[in-house]
Amino acid sequence: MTDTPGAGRQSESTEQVTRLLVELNNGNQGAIESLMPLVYDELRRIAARHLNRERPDHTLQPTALVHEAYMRLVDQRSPHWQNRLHFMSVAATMMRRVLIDHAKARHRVRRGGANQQRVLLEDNLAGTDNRVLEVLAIDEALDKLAALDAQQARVVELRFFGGLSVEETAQVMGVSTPTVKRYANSARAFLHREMRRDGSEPGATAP
Amino acid sequence: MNPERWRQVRDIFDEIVELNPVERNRYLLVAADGDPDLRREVEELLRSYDESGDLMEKPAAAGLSDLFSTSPAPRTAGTGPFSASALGAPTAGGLPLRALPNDYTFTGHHVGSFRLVRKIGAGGMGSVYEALRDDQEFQQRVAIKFVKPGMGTTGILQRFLTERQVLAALNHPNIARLLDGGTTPDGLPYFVMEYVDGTPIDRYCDEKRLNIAQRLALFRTVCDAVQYAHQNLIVHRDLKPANILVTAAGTVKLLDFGIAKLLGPAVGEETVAHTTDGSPMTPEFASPEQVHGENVTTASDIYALGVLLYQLLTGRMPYRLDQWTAPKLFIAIAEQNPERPSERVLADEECALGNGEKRVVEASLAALVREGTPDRLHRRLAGDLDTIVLMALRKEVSRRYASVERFSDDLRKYLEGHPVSARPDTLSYRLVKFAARHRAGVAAGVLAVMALIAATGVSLYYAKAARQEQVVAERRFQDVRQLARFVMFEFDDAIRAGETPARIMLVRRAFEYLNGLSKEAVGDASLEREVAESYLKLGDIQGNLYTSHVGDREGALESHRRALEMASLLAARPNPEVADRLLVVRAKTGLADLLALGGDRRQALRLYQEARAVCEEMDKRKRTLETVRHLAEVVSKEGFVQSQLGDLNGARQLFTRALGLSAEWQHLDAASPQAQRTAAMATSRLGELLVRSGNSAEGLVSLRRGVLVYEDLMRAQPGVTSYTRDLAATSILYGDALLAAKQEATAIEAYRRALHLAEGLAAGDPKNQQHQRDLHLVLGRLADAYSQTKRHVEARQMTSRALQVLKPLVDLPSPSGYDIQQYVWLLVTTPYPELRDPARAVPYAEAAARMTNASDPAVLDALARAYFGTGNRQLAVETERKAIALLPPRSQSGDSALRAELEANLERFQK
Repeated sequence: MTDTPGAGRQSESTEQVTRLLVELNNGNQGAIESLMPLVYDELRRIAARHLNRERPDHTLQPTALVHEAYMRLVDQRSPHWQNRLHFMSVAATMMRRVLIDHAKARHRVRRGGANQQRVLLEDNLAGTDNRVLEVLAIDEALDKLAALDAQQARVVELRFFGGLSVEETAQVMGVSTPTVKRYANSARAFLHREMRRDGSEPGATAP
Repeated sequence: MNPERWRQVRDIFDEIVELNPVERNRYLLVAADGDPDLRREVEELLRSYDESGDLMEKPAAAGLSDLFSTSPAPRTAGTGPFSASALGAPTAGGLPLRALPNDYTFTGHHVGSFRLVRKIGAGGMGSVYEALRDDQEFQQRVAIKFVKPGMGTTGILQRFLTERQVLAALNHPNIARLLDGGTTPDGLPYFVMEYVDGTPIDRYCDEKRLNIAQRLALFRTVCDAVQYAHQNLIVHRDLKPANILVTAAGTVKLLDFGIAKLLGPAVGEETVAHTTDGSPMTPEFASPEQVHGENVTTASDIYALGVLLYQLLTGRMPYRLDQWTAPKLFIAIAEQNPERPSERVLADEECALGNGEKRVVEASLAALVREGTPDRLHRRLAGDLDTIVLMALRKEVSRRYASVERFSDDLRKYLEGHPVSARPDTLSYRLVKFAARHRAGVAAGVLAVMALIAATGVSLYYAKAARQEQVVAERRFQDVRQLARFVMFEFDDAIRAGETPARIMLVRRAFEYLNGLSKEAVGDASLEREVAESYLKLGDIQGNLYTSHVGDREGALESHRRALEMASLLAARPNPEVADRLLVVRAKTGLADLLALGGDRRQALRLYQEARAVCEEMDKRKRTLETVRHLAEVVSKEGFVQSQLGDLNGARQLFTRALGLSAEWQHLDAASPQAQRTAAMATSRLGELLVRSGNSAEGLVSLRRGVLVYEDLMRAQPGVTSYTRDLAATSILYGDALLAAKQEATAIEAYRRALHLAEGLAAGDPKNQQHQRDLHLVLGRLADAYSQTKRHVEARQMTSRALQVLKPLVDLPSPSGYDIQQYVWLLVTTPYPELRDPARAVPYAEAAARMTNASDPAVLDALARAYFGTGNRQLAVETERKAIALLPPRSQSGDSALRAELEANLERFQK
């Protein structure tokens, strides 16, 4: 049905995502590559929609986003718990990309606009701005950690960017929950040190 | 550091991070024995850990919400003190309208006893300099405003000489004094004024992030100054932020009092805005009487103050313009009623600027410098502040505040929590206008409701205003609710039998009314509940499948969504009430009904499942009549959609469960016809299902039972049209089953009876789409039955009638996917060549596929047939394949008949 653009999007991508997850389950790691753009797009759409609702005190719950994306993208009639884990694993990475892309875009705009209101704006949004900087800094430092221990960095990614619980993270990574907690502790110390070294440590995180 | 080293450091860190400092140290000395670098690295990591505070405590996304909102745009361009706009250049939201003119530089020159120090601004009228008086022991700093040559200098001077006494007498701490005036040797008029180093009031408020109360306090100081001038019979005529500065010490200073009048007739041709008497005017702040060229009075200042207050409260100008031109603005000022401030602050908006560009006013940003969030700001402004601002902005001078003092006084009352004197624009007045517009067509009943709604709004307002008087307020509030309830419920029932267009109009008004009420309701749970309830009711009226139908699908969806939104918020509170959770169930079910009717069955199924989950959870906690009742209904509906989607096994289980539940319901509430109806529905649907899965004997029994129960119900309550409809629908199903069992004669009898019922309903309310829908459904079935029994004359006649009934339905602006599907089906499958028309069917079939997100195998199958009929084999094959792929896997208990049919089609197309 080539002449009904968009009509089959949801169900087609659902079908595709479900199929890819099954492939992944069967050990085809290449399926991850194909999954990523689908999940990325969906997450971004959901995030934007959530935030357009302008609820007071609205904060973004990554778990909710990932869950919603899962509901939308994965055929619920054949629920394998492995599918869910694989999905969350990919979704956490994509969540990181969505957030960082937006944070960078926002940051550019904020710094770039050389007009008189800049000061006012930054003052107004100081809280968010610091948070943006913090997340960007964590993202960078996390890459450094990945160079030292990819698995540990992945744990942080799942927890911090994907919003997965300790238990979920443990399941996705196939490690024990104490390991996840240990990884998280030393990662936190490592990241904090890296961020401070770069001089990009924002005031918001000062104790 | 390399990976191996990191592991080493981390291992030690893990061991000791939970220990106290002394133990950490002791352990570290042992663990990193002989490797001071290692020890240092661990130490550093530990220190870093201790200092990391709440790093990564919250997920990355938390607190980043505004990342996804529109990118920030500068709110206004810079308007420094005495900048161009301070000179009276026309501005649009603070932006100079055109490039500053190149005029003279006097710096260093002397004017009178003043030495010009620095040019601080220039504009259409001339330029302003900072100057110092040198010839005294103390230096006096002043601002000197020069009038541009060619602006009628003689007249200005003349007026200055007559007015100077009065202007010089304006002695108020918040008014910048006019000190002197004269002409330069080359005849250029100038004014000497008190020098004010400050920021325009709008910018000041934003920079200091003053909240609404602080802004009002500051604004009242402005009012004091204006009131003082008015008492001295001086009208400012050009009040705007650029003329109202706030110093670093927080003192308000009004500039240019009376100057506008002095400059009056001198305004040159390039000034975009001027009144007919030639006085200058800043267009954005011009009053309707100025636009009309009428007398400028103190009321014009009140109006300008209204504009200023609007701007301070919302960050927007009162009128929305798609394009900024002076004529458009003037028309808006003369005719447009400003939106309520509280409404404006909720959404981002683009506003047109004088230079042809647009700027985005971001709701979140505007709210951030005021009350935090758009929602909070909205709540702060809604009610009294809306009323006060709009009263100042009235078109008719006589209906504004009588004086600045009264205006300011109302703000004080508001701040102190007393009832304000402003009244909303009278509703009776608007009602009269409404009636005048619609005199010809408006039914008396609708007008009566309108009056009622208006009255409700007014009482609600008074109730709020009088909240101080608790008892009275409480009672009035109850009155309002009673009225609202009457409009929504009793009155609706009364006209239920009535004409469809009258109801549509009523419903539309009621929706607007509810939107208003829902804003008033914020924070009052029981009122919120009632509003949500009313939205549901309204949604039902607008287009529920299960009640009589007036066919406003979009409106119905919207009402249900709002109900769901409100109900979800209510139910999301800690320890939600049962009523709130039931509201969620009903809203989800209602929404699903509509979606199922529209053809989006998967979405409908999901909502039914969600609704069921809520019910089940409640039922598990405590079984009551309500939980059983809702569960029975939801489960039955879910089963129906499930069966339509082809999962017969799942559907059968659900129907069986629904039967059990409705039996229990009847047990709990024996007299309930609704329980009987649900049981009948589940029985007949189960019967249909049994027939479809090949068990026609059992199916027929089940269907027959359904018919009997409906007949009972109809007899017991003959006036209820929904029972008639149910009976018609069940008769059709019964006919289907009989036909499948090769009992053609009995089948036709059942269909004939359904046709009779449907015709009766359609004749009773010809504009009711649902009745038309029933009609074409029966006609289609009869056509099939006659065709099977080779009674071709009757078959052709029925098909033709069905197509006639369907045509207007599928050409509606938002047609039902179901109707389209029927239409397409008849056009592509009818055996009568003169009626068959696949080419006409194709666009409709494509639309149906689009509407259902290509998720319904039957819809795709119809599309494939249409393609095939027009000779497009390839598309037909592709589409049929997609349809087959949507069927449940073969292993599951799918609808094997449907699968067989689609596969046969595919084969046929491929030949």
